[in-house]
Amino acid sequence: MTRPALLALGIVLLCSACGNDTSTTPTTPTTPAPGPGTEVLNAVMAPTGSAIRTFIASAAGTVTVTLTSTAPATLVGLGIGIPGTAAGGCDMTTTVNTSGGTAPQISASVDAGNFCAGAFDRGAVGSGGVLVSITIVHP
Amino acid sequence: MKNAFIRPIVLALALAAAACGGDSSTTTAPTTPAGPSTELFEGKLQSRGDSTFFSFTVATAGNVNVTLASEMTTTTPGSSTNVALGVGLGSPIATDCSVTSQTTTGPGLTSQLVGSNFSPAIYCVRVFDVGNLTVPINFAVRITHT
Repeated sequence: MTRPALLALGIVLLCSACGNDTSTTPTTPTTPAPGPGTEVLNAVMAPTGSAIRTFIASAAGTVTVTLTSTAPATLVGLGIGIPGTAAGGCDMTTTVNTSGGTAPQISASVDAGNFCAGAFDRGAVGSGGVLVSITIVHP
Repeated sequence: MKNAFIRPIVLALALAAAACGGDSSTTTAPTTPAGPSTELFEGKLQSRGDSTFFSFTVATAGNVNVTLASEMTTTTPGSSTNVALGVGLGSPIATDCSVTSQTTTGPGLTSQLVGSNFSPAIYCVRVFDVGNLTVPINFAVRITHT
């Protein structure tokens, strides 16, 4: 191949790399999407720790929070509130003690806005932690 | 000879321009939907009769919603409590908050106090003990306004 041809090939290869922005790196959303929906949180909670999920209620309505299971079975706290500066980042409004079940342990009326819900250790979580599974249904 | 050198270069530049032409799609600046502002007022009532307030600015005329969302005896999640506290809405005067409407309520996630048609100005929310406080309480109030 002649030098001009090589030069031309180089220019084409160089520039063919630009202008193609279709490949994207998946990004994790920093804020939950608004709208009615169900949030599922599965997390290993350490001793004295918490497992909190924030969510957006798109309209006034009822939120239900269900701790479906703990593994190993452990009595933990379950609460709902608004994002704030308390431990776990959630200023709790209502809390209950539960080790899990199929029926919602918390049902709360809410306005539209940002909320948080989750589990926290009440002193019974062992050194290996506990796997908590939480389902939040919101408007 | 000269054309033999220039022709591939011109062709290459044309192809390069075509390859770089994919950015012609216009991008529009994201628009922020107009909506209410939300303020978080966190504080602590130390003892019986204690009171504290928080000021905020209403930018455009509209309603103000106040929600006493949380009461906790410590900052740990398991310390939630349900003591009836006073929550008032008014205007700051000097270093105080002059309350024009108020309610007594425990914590909840729907607004307990609503002010209608507030003109653009500075307003304040006061949280105060109505005689029920036996231990210090950390509280969180959400204020939604225009």
